[in-house]
Amino acid sequence: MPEVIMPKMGDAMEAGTVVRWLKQEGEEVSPGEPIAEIETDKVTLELEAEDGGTLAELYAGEGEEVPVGQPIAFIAGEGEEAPAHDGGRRREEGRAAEEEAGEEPEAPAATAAPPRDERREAERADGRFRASPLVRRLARENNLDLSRIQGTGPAGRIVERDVRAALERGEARAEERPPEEAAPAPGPTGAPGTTLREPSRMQRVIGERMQQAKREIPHFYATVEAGVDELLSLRRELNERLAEEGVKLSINDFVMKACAVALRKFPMLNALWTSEGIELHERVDLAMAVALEEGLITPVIRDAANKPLSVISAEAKDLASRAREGRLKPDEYQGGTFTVSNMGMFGVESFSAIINPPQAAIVAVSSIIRRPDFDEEGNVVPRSTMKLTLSADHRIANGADGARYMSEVKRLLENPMLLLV
Amino acid sequence: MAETKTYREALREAMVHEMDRDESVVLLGEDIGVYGGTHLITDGLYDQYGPKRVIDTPISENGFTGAAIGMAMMGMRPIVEMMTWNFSFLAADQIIQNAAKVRYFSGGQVKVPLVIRGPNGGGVQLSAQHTHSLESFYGHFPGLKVVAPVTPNDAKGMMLTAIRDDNPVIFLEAGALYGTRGEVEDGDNAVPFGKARVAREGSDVTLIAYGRQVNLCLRAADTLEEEDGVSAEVIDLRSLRPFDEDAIVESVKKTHRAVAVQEQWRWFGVASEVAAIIQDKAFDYLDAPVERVSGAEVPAPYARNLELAAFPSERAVANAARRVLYMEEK
Repeated sequence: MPEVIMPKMGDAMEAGTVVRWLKQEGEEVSPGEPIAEIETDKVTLELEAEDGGTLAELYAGEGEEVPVGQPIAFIAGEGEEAPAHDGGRRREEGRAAEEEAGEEPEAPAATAAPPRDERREAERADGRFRASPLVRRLARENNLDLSRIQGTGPAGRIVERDVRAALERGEARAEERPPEEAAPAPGPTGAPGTTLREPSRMQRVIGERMQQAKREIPHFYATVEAGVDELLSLRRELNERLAEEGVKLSINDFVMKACAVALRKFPMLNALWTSEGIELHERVDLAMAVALEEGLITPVIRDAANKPLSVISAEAKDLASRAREGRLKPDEYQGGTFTVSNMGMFGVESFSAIINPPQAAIVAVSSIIRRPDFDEEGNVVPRSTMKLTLSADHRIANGADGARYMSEVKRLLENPMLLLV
Repeated sequence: MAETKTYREALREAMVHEMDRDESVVLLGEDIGVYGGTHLITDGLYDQYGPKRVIDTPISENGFTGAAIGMAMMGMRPIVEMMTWNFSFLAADQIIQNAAKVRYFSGGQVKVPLVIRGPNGGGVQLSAQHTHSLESFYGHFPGLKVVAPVTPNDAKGMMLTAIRDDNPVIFLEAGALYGTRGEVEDGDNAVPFGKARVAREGSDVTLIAYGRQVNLCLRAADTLEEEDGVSAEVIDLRSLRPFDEDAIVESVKKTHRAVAVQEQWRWFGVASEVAAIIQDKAFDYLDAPVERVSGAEVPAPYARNLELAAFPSERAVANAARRVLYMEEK
């Protein structure tokens, strides 16, 4: 039975929205052909058919959010019919909370079958659940969110064995759920001239992650100012000579290369804060912040320290443009070990960035500013400078690590030939 | 040194121990003297101590109980035998109105060091007028101590404590177990009141009982272990007033689940009290509501099969344990 299942396109993905069906019921599809656009927290992707045949039934409507693993359509082979009842029932379970029981009198089997589960769902829907006193005490002591545990006792009561099982699986920790602990936002004023906009899913996710990062990660900051005249002239020269080959290096390409190369000596900054401990990475998988209309995404250039500038440049261009179109694959924006965020194009004199958890650090790159400076003899000369600010996780690295790292980045940017070797 | 003795012999040994030690200890009851006692508890004592200390009484519970209360008030230490605890209803006025209240009425000036003893409960086919369990009835009245030993060693040890107590003690013997044997410590093994006994250690569920139901719980615990791998703890309350709340609370804190077992009827019973104490003192440790296993709400039947059906069974206790463990639907 070739059902089309809502795919899991990222570790954190729990549900996806069917934005648009690219094929309609009754149309023929072949394997690999795109049949729908699916929106996740991060991107919109085309979902390709795995099987060929007739797209017999669409279970999910456009705009409908479907949990990962649930069927959204059925592709029928020759002479095969869609198992309408089965698919329909499974879809109902997914939406049990919002559906009124008994709406479909023609399907008595479906309404009579699982009264127990429905009752459980109903209890959860209004935010209440049954739990033994012991379970409530264990929840207090272990900081558990009982609403995330399925009870196996009478009428869905959560009993000790359910909690023990959840603890063993490492589930249901209340602290994984930051937004509810935060103070509620004030209500809208409704004043004339205001409109209310629903935050997009991406905005919500970014908001939660950044809030979590600022609350949980003790940030410290270190800023350096690099003289970049030499870098600018080297870049001009390279771009002139390589123009025919289509290479056009940006300032940011040099900065990313410098940040990546400098990390070789500072493993504590190329690290992840994990549940088990600090994970140190030999390879630099450099995430670059790309601003989108609705938010921000950080595609990753793998092994950036060992790639030549031209390769970094080409990959960065490709990733950035596809990011803006919402066409990145999940593995292209996951798994970075360090992030560079560049606001140089906006004329920003200096800024500091929020760490992208679980990473240990991020570098904020500002605009190049031409200003008077002193040369070695004390004469006032014009000079191009750029400020770079490191934000680092003090649980992982200390201030001296950060300062030494930033002075290495500065040395590389002021001696850009070193980035070519 | 410990020797194997019957429950009956253990009781007798305790009385002899105290009668030898203290001349004020005397026995009163129907047929306890020349005949040796309907249940042979006092067998031989008439010959040993004579008619002034082992006193045969007419069938007049209210009369001889009242006489014993008067003797106690005057400084003696009488032990009254009820042929069965059911017959004590005839003396209930004396026990409740006088024995339980005299010390209080007199502002503590007059003590009533009295033991009233006899077989409590059923199991030996004596029908409804000889069989009922009266622990809740007497346990209700402040001023009375109520105890119910189940092992021969406790029968002796608790009888020693009862005789030495300056308050009236309702001594509920496990009548069906008079002939059962167990190790009994030699000499003075006085067992304090208000201290429960862990009859079997366990970790998954606590079975709480007293009197002969303790043995039932021990068998149910074995069944649970064999059939389900469940480790049941069995608590023998021993003494119902005073009552060892701490022992129950401690055990439930460990096991999180409890079943209270009693032979008497369910309503207003000891098991209800046990359940209430647990929810009061160990609420945050409970994983399931406390279950009660009780006798059927009928006068005790005579026929053996019906009597068995009317009292808690090993299976009923095991099933209740499974329910509080969520292994079985309620």
